[in-house]
Amino acid sequence: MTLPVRLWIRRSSALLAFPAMLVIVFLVLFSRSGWSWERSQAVSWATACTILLGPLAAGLVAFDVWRRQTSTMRELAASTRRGTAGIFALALAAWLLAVLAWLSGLGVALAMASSNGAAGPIPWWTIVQGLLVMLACVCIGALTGATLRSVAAAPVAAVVCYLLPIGANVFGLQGLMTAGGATAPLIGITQDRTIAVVLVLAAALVAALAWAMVRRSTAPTDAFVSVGAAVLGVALVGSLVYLNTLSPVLRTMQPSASAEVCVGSSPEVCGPGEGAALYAVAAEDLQSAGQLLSEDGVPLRDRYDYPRGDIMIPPGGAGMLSLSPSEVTDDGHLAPWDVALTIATPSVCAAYYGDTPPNDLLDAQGSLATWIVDRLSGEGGDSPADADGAQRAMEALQTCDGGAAGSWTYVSD
Amino acid sequence: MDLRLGLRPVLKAHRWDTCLVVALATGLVGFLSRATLVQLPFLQDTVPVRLLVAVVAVVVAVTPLYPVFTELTPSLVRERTLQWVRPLGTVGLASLAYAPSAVGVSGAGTDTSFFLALLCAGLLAIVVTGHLAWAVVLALGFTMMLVDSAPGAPVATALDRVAFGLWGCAVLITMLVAGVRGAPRRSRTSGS
Repeated sequence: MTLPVRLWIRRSSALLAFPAMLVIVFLVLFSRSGWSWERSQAVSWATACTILLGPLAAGLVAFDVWRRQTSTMRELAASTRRGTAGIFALALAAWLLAVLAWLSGLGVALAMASSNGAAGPIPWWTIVQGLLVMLACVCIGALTGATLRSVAAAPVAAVVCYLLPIGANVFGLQGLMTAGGATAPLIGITQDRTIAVVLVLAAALVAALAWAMVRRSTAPTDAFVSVGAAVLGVALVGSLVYLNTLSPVLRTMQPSASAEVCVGSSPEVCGPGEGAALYAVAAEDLQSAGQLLSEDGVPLRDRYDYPRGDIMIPPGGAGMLSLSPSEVTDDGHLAPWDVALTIATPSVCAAYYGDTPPNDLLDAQGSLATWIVDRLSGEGGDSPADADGAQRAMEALQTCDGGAAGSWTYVSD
Repeated sequence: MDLRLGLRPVLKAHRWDTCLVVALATGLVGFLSRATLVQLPFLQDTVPVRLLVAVVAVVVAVTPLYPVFTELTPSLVRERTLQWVRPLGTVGLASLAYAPSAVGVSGAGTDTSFFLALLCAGLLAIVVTGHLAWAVVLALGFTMMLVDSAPGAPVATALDRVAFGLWGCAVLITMLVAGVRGAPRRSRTSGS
């Protein structure tokens, strides 16, 4: 079994392109930061490279298939035991190499996440989507190479696979032929299961349909293949129509069902379990900040919560945690503005979600956060008047009474 | 020159005729979508269609450089001359396909640097990989767009640091390299 696989991999142009695939994987992976603090985003971002690997593999398969389509090769293929299955072997070889490159990046991403103590489940749906999207791409590549017997087959296949998700967006089919790619934290949110199942099914149907059409164009047509292709086509159209009719609300990320965890004690930082590693960083930074700010009479809340889903009203007495994982420093600290904004959001006031912006509360929050940044960095805000103003602003923000903030404003030097 | 005996077979054999038509069509699409933005997968911001046009323009323009006659090539009478002419034609073809989407458009400077960088990569890829040059151009182009969506737009920043004049020199140098070396004639990627 191993020998034929090695043989077809050696015949595939994807073997030549494999080093380039690895470069693409790691270039994309390390073009962003902040994904290594939670497993779901690590897997999602490490899978983003499939949007490049899939079209590249499709082009390489189309190139190999086109190269095989000489009259001599077609006659030889027709007389061999394997027949035109060699085309599928070429596609499978390119798929295996592309998957291997992607999994290399995925392994590194998960290792880095583990070293940061990232928690949460591995999103297996994203991995299944990645595998099937790339399989669909190589099948489209095989189809293009088999039908468009020209040097243009390879770039055409690659461009088609790259443009498919863009075209799908136009028809309200967001996510079709793509996998992963989260550029923001996935703490407390997850993909709707119905959407995920339909997207996986659609990618599998694209792969199967493309392959059935390859069989039709390269081997003597039998009724089974023709009927199978027709059934697959109908099923694909049906799944796309169903996807299009699903509520737009479902297409946005949904609140996850993960257990809530709390880290630290003074203050306590709580939220959906997948963000535990970041809560530990936040709890440590907030504790240090609290010790310094208590000297100015500005107390911290006992607890800060990270939202689950889009909107959060934390329990009374809890502040809202602000997190920008991409700005966590190399030595494991939150960005100063995140620390300041967290402290300056001691209550999630109903007015924040009102029809008109609560300007007095927002002004107090802005001044307080700016003052905290300066105080923590030791670059200003140390006058008694500023400390007094900060105390009043904090009280106003805790009670959601903008009028209590007074006229204190703070601007950084 | 008798077109039937001289120029036309050469144009056809090296796919210049087809590529010219596709380049003109690409130029037309680029011209009509000069102000159009497109949402690419995993990019937060939309990007000008011009960037996609640049990638397609270079892929189309390097096609005539692919080896056609492989082992027979050294025995062809005009091969040495044509090897010098082809990169020139490729640059002309690529410019024909890209220019309508950028000429006269303010703020297209970085996109044009992107196009010139891809053109250089395409010319070099022909020398190194022959028939797989399209893969180099597409992979590089699409990867650059995805990486550039990161905070700080690293690719655009790097491209902007290089003056237009230097890009022009780079294109000239890669044209020379492609003219001197040509596409590899005996590689496992040579077409039939």
